[in-house]
Amino acid sequence: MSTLPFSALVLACVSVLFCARFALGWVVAPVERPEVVAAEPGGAMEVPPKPAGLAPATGEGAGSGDGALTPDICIGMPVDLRNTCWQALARQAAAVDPEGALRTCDELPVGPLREECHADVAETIAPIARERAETICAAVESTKWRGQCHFGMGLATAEIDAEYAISRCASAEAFHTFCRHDVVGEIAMVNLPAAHAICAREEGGTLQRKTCWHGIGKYLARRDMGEAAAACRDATPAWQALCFHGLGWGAAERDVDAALAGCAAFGEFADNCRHGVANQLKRSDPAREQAICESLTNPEAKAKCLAFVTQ
Amino acid sequence: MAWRLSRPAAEVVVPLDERSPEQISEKEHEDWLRKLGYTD
Repeated sequence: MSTLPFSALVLACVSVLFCARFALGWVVAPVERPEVVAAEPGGAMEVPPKPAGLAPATGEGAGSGDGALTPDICIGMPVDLRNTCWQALARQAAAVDPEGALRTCDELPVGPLREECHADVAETIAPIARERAETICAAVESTKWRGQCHFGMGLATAEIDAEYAISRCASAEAFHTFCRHDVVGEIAMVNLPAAHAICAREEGGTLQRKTCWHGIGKYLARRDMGEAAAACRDATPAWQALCFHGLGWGAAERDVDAALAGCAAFGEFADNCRHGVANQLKRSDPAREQAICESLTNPEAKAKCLAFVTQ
Repeated sequence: MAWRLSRPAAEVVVPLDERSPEQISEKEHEDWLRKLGYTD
């Protein structure tokens, strides 16, 4: 008898909490996560290079019943997850149904998310339908995502057609130099003579020419420092040192101690290599970055390295 | 009110990745590359 009022009280509390949760959810859910943008030129950079091509789509497209996403799954998701779901669904469908994937992208709000989604579709189909992919990229309205779209196409085709891949970088807008660096790096991994030939043409301004060799050094060092060193010694003489900087950076991504030990074997380029290792540590271990910079014997490399520590 | 009107308008800074290449100075470009590990 005495428990009835208590149960009623519990029921009332649960009801209030239940209603409050949905009332709050209704208010909070539609708020999109703001896009991070750089506050000033040279400040925090919001767009890292795109990773290499996407993994192949799994299953037979949407709704295959093998765990793949479907439109119904996305529609049923809370609003704050739904956009991510549409993006994933578009990527999943792109390889087998590009036009359907684009329609899926159009479930996203007009703006960066939708443009990124279109760029992802273009990147996915680039190896098999480059003209259609180019059309998709050209239709992206913002300079940023149009550039990213062509950049992604370059990365996605690097292994199969080096010249076509590097040509995409001409349309990569502000990412032009990043694109050449990364695309030539990807090419070097499968066809070093082709990558070497592209950089040896010495196309573009100083930054484009020098960073081309940096890309070869960095990408090959991610696999093998000796292989990268051989390629750097074969670089245009003026850019050998920068190639070894890239080598140091790439090697440090895998193992900093091994990278430093390897750098020691590179004679006149040892400091360039260590400089690359130091720069790579900027975010993860600034104290060690500074220590390595201070250990450099090449005055120019040391000054540049230390200047970057405080930037 | 007059003071408010005389203040210079806040400068609109366009992020680097939303500019065309021609709108990025050589120094901005090099600093951006260095920050992301693309040059020394």
